[in-house]
Amino acid sequence: MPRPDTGPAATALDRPARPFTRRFEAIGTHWQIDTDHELSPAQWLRLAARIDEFDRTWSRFRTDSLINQLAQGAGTVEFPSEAVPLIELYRRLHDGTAGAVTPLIGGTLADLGYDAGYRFTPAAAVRRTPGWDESMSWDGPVVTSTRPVLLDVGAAGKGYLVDLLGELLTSFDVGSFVVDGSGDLLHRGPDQIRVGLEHPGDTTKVIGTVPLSDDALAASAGNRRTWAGLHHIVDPRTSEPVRDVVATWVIASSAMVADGLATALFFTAPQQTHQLADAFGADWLRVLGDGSAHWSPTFEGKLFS
Amino acid sequence: MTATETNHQHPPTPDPLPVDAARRDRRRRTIFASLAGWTLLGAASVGLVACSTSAASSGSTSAAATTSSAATASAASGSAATSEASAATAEAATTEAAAAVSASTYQDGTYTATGSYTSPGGTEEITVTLTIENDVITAATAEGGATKPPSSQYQGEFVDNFAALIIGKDIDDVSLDKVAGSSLTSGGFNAAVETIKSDAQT
Repeated sequence: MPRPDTGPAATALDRPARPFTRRFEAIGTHWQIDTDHELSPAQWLRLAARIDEFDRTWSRFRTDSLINQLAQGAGTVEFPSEAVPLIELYRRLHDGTAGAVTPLIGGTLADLGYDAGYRFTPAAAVRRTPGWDESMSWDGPVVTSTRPVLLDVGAAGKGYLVDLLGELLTSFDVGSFVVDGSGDLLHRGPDQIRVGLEHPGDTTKVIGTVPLSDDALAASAGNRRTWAGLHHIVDPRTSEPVRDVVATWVIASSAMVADGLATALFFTAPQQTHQLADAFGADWLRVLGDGSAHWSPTFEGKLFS
Repeated sequence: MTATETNHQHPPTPDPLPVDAARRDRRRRTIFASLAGWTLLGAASVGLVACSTSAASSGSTSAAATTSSAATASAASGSAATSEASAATAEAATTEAAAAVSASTYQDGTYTATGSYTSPGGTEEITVTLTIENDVITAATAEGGATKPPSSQYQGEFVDNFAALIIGKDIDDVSLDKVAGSSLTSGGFNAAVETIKSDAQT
């Protein structure tokens, strides 16, 4: 939750254009919001309430969440209207990756050890990820499942929350801000910031930089959230973590799209990568397991050489 | 949007990603910029025409050539910085240049230059060949000379935006407010281009 313990803004990403910085923890990770003018306590409370509402709806890691009702058995659950863009994005990514991106991965992730108790020990039998159409159907924000399903919106949920907080800030008439959901960035303002691209094998290094202006950037890599030789980007078709791709970065007009695409690009062949990203008007950079890097023709970042 | 379209009474379809199109347009503009600024042909042909124009004391020709370059780049959008796109740009510029130009800055001919760059596997070379007619580049090819795997395996894709191996720098050593590097192949490509431009100067 946002707390008024404003720390010094002296980080590598120091942004003097936005001197008001707050860091806090939410949905299991670190957040930072930088603004050009100071928010009121009431505005921070509204941001906190928005985060809490999101968490209570979508968290796979808390038993009282709405998403966990679906794990109890077949039935119909009505989500808040915020579900519609998220689920529609998931469907597009699902279809664009031959089913590799799917919210139904939740059960498989949990069995691999990435569960509510952070058990991080793979179960003896890992659940197969069920197919989308055979297990649930969405009508707007209303989902009907034909079986118990454990959904996980980790591929795009954090980015979506970044966008939702950005919308709130905009509604507060904050014209210049950066919402940083631990690597999922939303920048609004006339200036440009330069973002370092973290080395997928060494978090003390960066492999290049990319400018960001009035856009969103998301990164995804297997080097974080690693356990027992596994990591959290799992191919539902094999129930195994992806090894061919080690890191992705996507720049898109929304953090939700950037976040979701960053995961999707772990599963796409080169041709698919171009097509899928183009469909979203997104730019991307991808590092493969052999250490090579590939990027979209209009990617404006620079890699070190 | 026409009046007919706005009169449709369909229920509004929720568009989950209404800004996709806007960002795509911005990317297209970026492609133009990258074709004009990054590739040798976009930059060279516009520059050449501009030179000739000043000799002919005509301001409008330069603008026309620039426009025609941009229009051609638009047709080639999505394949930024390929030889094909660049050659097409040059070809469009030829028409404009031929109409207006008498003074020549570059000698006609085919020029080849080799640029080198340092990859993690050692020094690699890339060869660029240009054909210049009437101060306009009418053909261009680029060929990698890499023999060391994995560079040889990938170098042919350099126009497709590729680095054989990522290089990490300590975060503390990097000013994240500045561009601190360029990709391997485009450095060699640009070096070869610079050599050609100076060789071809009369």
